[in-house]
Amino acid sequence: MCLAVPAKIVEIDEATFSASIDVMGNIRKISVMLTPEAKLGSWVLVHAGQAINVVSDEEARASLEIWEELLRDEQQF
Amino acid sequence: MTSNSFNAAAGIIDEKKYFHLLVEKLRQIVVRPVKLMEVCGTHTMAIGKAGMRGVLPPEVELISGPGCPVCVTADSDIDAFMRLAKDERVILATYGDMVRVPGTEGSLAELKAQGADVRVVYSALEALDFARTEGDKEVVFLGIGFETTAPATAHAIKTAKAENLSNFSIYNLHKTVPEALRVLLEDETTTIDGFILPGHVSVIIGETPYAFIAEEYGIAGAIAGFEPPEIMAAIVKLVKDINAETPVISNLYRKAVRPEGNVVAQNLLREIFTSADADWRGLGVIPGSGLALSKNYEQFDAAQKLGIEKIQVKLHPGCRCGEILKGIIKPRQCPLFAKRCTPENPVGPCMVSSEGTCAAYFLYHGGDGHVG
Amino acid sequence: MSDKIRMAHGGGGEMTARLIEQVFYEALGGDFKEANDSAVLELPGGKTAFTTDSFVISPLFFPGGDIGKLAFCGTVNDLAAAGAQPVAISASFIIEEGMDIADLKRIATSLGDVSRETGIPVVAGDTKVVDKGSADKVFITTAGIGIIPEGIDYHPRNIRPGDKIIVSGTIGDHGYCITALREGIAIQSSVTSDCRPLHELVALLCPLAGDVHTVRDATRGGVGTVLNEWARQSGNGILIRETMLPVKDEVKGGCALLGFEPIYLANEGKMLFIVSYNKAEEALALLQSHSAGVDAAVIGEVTAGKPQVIMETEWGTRRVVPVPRGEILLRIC
Repeated sequence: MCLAVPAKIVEIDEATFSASIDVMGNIRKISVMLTPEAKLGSWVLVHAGQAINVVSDEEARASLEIWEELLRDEQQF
Repeated sequence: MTSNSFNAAAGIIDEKKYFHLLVEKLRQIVVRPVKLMEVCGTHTMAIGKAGMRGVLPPEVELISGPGCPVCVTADSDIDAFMRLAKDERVILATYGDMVRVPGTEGSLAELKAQGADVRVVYSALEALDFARTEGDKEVVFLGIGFETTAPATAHAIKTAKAENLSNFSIYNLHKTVPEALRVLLEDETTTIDGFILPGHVSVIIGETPYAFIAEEYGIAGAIAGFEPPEIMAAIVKLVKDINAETPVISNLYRKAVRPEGNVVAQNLLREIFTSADADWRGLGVIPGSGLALSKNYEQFDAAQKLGIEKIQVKLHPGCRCGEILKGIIKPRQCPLFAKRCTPENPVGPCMVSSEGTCAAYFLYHGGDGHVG
Repeated sequence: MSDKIRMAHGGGGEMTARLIEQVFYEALGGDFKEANDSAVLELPGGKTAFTTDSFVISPLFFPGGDIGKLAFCGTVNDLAAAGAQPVAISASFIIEEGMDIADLKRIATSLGDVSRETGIPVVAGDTKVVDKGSADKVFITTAGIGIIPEGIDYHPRNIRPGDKIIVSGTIGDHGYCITALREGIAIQSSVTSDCRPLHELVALLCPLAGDVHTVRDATRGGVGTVLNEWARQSGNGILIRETMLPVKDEVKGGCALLGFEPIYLANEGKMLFIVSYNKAEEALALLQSHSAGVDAAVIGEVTAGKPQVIMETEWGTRRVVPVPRGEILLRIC
């Protein structure tokens, strides 16, 4: 229900769970308290000033395979 | 659209091609009329802005659901926090979405114009800052949103407790989605063949809370992202499941949703909140669908702290919010839609919320409910 | 002179005279100094454009300009949109008691700078001081007169189905820049306001005469608002293509973060043009030859459909571009 955008972490202070994210050149401070696994360079989904998850590029690429499956005739995947 | 930079970084460049192929596939496989509910207000807006209804085959009907936290805020709650805003001891901090929602005596925007200290914030932590720097006022933060947003509020409360802040509290409006879906499934007047499940709520709660939809009710559900091909993939999957009569819960937003969800966030929610009944506009009281502050954090509940009572308010006669939120009728079937109830003069929050079903139809479907 | 504006500065006496002398004459120079009760101008015959606007922007200073520059350019651009060559500008200042005189001087100088750069004189003006709380530091009202050359008639009644729509550059820059500065948003962005005078840019299209049907600057409410107004005024439909809209990446990204849309954000240095379809390429080339028009693009056309604005999205689907409702608020949900 909520607006969230993928953003890249360009600065991070793991001790205080704060980070700066870059969304196409805009820099903003957020909290990474909910994503302790996030690191410098991670892509995170940002909502209401919090990173709510790390976005996985492997899974993103895997989505393409899922879409290919859907385009074939089999019912299951 | 901004996913473009992430997608580009991940090496994905063919989304447009897949979107068109998935639309074609959908046209091929659909055999009978199906009603799919897009639960989430963000999906309703994404679908409207992407013009998706215009390319769906006529057999596929998308109906909007109650997944707009602003829209399902009960009138009695709205009036209660309006009263808080008028209180001179209070700084009312809120996300921008709530500011134009109409109460019995106006909106927060109108109260602000009359001198109430109402401040729009982008994050709950900003509200905490006001409490730190303005010790003579009580900062009340409107805690609104589903499981996606509740962790941010939880974080603010946890921080407030650690810092011993005595002038910070929340007016708690947080609700949870799965119980509302159960109410829809139990309601005999609703017809839903499949659910497009909310992507970002699922980031927090994962896949398992939806299992009952397939297991107990035999209805398919697909967790979807917000880009057009992600939504279209979910629709194709749902139609396939419906055709094969194999209802399952699928996760088509794996890049952001892990099967177990975000465990850190879930733990935080369990620490700060506890399950409670909540009053949903148009749906009534849904047991276990709200988040109340747990014992250790009760001191941050504004209603208790400031002695706010909720007074029941009668819905405007003619307002058919409830049926719209359940997907039983479309906005244009409400007698007030686009006549008495418009974004400038809303009767209910669905018309003014940035993700309200009525607002989406008004803006993106030509104002008269027909695709423009 | 004290460093803050006091009520006495507006009293009409010695302090007023000194304020005008040391702040406004200095900044606005030349013709402003010669002023009597009225500026007297000798204008050629024919059509004269006359416009006025008030500027109440906050913050007063922003990357790319300030309220002074904005006020001057805003009025020049309104004249340009009528096809007029600006001849003279007036500037009235309503100043709040307590305002820093140094800030006022900076603002007046900005206004004067654009005047000098463009050669369009400020020939009349006024200053008033109001009690603290009755204004937000300073409000500026500008008015302007310009001459419309023969053969130029920019008006929505000229709009025809088939006409092409051109925007002079990237959209939403000013609105986004101001929004990012708002307290609490805390976004670091390198986007600056696009505030600039556009009369020269528009004048480049004079040779196309009646083939340029109408022109408007896309200020408050952005491109989305102007297109909707045109659709309504002309009774025609408008179709635009999302992929043709020039938008800076940073503006796109920031809008996604905050929940806005670039098409509704204000522009202070961009013009929209509706031209005959067979002159669109030529118009585009002329605009692109000027520094203010390097990113100009054809974004769509006028259609014979319902008077609404339809956008063909980057996905090949179509949707309505509604009139924006309400103030721009921070979205979360």
